[in-house]
Amino acid sequence: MAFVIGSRARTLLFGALVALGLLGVAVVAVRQPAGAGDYLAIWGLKARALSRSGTLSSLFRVDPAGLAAHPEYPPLWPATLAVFSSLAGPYDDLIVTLLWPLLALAASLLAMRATRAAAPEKILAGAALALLPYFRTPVYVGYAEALLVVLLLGALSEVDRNTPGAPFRLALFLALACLTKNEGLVASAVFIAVLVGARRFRTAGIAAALVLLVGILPWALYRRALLGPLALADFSVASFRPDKLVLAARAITAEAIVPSSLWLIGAAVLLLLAPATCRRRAAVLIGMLLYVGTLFLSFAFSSLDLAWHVRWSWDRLALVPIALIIPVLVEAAVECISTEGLSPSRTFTGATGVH
Amino acid sequence: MKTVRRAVALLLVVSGFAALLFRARPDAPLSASISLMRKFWGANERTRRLNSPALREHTAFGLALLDADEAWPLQSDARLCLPSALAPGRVEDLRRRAAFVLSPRFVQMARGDSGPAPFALEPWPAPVSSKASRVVP
Repeated sequence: MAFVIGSRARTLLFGALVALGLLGVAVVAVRQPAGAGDYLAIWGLKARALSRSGTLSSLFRVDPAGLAAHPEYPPLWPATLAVFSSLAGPYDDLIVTLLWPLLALAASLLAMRATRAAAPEKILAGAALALLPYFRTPVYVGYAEALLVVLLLGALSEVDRNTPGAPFRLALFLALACLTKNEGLVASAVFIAVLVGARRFRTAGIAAALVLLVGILPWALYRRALLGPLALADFSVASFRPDKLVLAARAITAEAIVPSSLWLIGAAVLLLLAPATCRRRAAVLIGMLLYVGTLFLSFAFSSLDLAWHVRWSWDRLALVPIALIIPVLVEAAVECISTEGLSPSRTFTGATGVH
Repeated sequence: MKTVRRAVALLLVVSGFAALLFRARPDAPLSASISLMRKFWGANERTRRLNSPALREHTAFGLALLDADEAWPLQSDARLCLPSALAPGRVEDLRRRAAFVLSPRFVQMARGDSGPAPFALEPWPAPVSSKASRVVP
């Protein structure tokens, strides 16, 4: 593959970018205890409750009315924080910050694994992930999206591997994503829908079964047994109004699309220049649009002030589609820049090639 | 045509990474971050918690919460009384901080007379000798 610079130099350069990204994430995360925003109100509060009481029901005790701690949220992230901290003793908001660079590293490695390109360009995908602003935003240290992104990148990296264990690993990643955040459920539904669309019924069936039996039912039943039926605090059927979508579109345009317009245009141009990548990765692109569309529609059910809701959440909601499109953008760049084009590669519909 | 496509893609990739690197520049001098890191990792648990983002701007409140957290059994819930005049946003902010420090205890809120202090914190349901357990700054 003839690039501007040689393969070894690219490996070193992209590796240095990954190292720089991860170092920055580590410095921001571990220099002080987590203790702001949703970590304080939700994740750290629940992790501390779990760790100190040792019972899952303590997740509900801290905020039974659901004022801010969202009792309906699944328990995997607070449980992860609690277990990680317990390795070093009683719950400690400083110890758990060590998880942050580890999750950034895992996300970076999984982005590399999900990229269908030669080794140096895989590293470029990892570098882009490690340099994302989310991981280096101090207030987000301890938030659940980091684990969600790791799990969904894990699912993406399994989606077209033709090994006997791949459908089960994919299903497990999706089930764990459902146990991490409610967006994991949306992402799992999209993954399964796209698998069905690609006529990969066996993989879709395994994923649907594991998502339902591990990712959804146990937590839903446990929650219902202890709390009874609970309306989602931020969303409810009673709050549905179609015209909210207009307000949401305005808010998203002002908060997200206009400030990020150069990124969006750049990504679109890169994809337009790489038709082979777009064809090969059509399922991922369609899945991403479905995911973004579903999240957008969910704002019609918001029970909060919409402008505030969008401003408060859009960058974290956007993290999943951004992380999942990075491998595709790197592949598009390789298609355009390489003089030899991409080597034969697996496709989402199951054709195999060299990796 | 291929050369143009290649040049445009290269430009996009290089400028994209330049923008990512620009946004990834440190928010504080590295020496300041390392100094902060040393202080936190070398401090005892109480000092760490009191200086954490959760409590560092609320020293008196934080001290009362840490005292209560150490003194009260985990089975006991808590009652936080704040003055009626306090703005609802401020009340919710203090409730969240109290719930975080006292977790897994449930923090019951009350508005009204917190005495001469800006807040009052007591175990809830109150034990027979509730005054003995009451924590005020």
